[in-house]
Amino acid sequence: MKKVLIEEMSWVEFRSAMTDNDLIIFPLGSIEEHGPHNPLGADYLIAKKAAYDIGMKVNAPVAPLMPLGNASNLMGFPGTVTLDPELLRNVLLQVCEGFIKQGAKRFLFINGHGGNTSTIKIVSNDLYEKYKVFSTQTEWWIILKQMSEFPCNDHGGKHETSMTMVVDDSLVDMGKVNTVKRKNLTEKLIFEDELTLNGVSLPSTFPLDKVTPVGNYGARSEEASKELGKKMYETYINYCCELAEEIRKIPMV
Amino acid sequence: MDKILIGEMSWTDFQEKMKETDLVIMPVGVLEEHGQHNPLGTDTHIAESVAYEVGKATNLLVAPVLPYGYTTNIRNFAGTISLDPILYRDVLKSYCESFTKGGVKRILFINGHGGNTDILQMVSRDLFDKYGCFCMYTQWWEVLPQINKEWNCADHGGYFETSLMMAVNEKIIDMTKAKKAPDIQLTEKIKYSHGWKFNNARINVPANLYNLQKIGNVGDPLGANAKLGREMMEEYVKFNVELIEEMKKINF
Repeated sequence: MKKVLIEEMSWVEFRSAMTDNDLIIFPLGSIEEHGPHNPLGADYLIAKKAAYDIGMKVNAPVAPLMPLGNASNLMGFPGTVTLDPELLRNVLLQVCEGFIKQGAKRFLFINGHGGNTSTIKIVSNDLYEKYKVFSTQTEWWIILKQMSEFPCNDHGGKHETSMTMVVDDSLVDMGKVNTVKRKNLTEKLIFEDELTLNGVSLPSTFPLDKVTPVGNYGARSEEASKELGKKMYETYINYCCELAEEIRKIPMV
Repeated sequence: MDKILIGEMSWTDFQEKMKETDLVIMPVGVLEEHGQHNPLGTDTHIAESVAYEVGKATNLLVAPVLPYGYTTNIRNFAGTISLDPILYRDVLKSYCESFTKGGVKRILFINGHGGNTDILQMVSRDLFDKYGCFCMYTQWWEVLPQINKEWNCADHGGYFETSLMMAVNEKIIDMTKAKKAPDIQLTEKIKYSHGWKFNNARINVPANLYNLQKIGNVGDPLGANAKLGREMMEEYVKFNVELIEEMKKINF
């Protein structure tokens, strides 16, 4: 049986997996609301599946999923969990340090949650500075935005719901879908797919429960489908596999 | 059946559920070696599986498992990962704190890993002190010997733990690699036998197992079997289910 999940390998199997490989795939997620129709685990479920599929394809060990992330702006919705960024940074750092001692020199973070993005970048800098180890991250919505026709600027909307369906469509209850436009912050600070001023998009970390009662926003969840999800998912996985192979070629001292 | 895994329910499902209960079951694990035959995730797999069974039996919610924990004495084996203990405490505390904001007032930790015990003590005390959230934890190796004297459960990846792991997922165990570990001792009198002991009394010994033997399990896994594992699992689940019924009754 081919094993790529580190938690399923024995210590001797892991040791031999690291004899001719120094890359580790590390999935990161969050437990947070994604609208009444999507599971709280949407972000980590997507990251976990993606990391597994990538690990199988490029034959790289996959670290156990870190299911907790920073989601402080969603705490108004029950079931959401947040971790202070400093804690998240230290957890990622210490887990990677453990693997570095055992031969890892490269990490590919498969991040399922936007709130983690800044923290992972800091961790990558930390790892490089301290250990000269290379790491980078991919986020499906950022990759797809650049290389497909899918804008992916929703939260639990058309695109994210479709991705969740690829993981397990029995976890999505389309009967509960309710797309509601977010309340604007001022007359000019308007929520469309993103927050905008005069049509120029701006980042928003505003507490979501203050502007919507449902939790999902952006492209209409009603338009989600597993078919769409599959297209998105495959494009993302292929990209990550190519990236993983390329990361392996980076000369390391 | 209602959904019981929090990661699989929506925030509105969660909110609804909090109207009928304020108790959450949280499995706690670690990534560490368990001999050459058992998976690195043994403790996590066991805790997760027990938590799920307890959740099913009680129709209560089960939190996603945090697969990293605190481990000290076996760090030198490949694939073993430890968080700093205070960092681990802070992470667990934040995790639980978040749930208290969503209405949780009672937490039962199903702990799969001995190194986490002290941390769970700290977290439980803090959560009650700060949020009035009442936490308890159970550990199979402590509960089962008190239920059945023949189950001493004093091994690491040995007869009992391997059996329990088999009941969870036999496919990720390779019994052809199972070996009896040699007895270990630091001095003539400080020996490992059902825990570190000096003159038959337990003491805390911060030893590095890798320097003492390179197999990884403590005890003898040969003879481990899924039937025993299932019996252990059943008793342990039953105990937790009863404990939950009592936890529900506590008024504070």
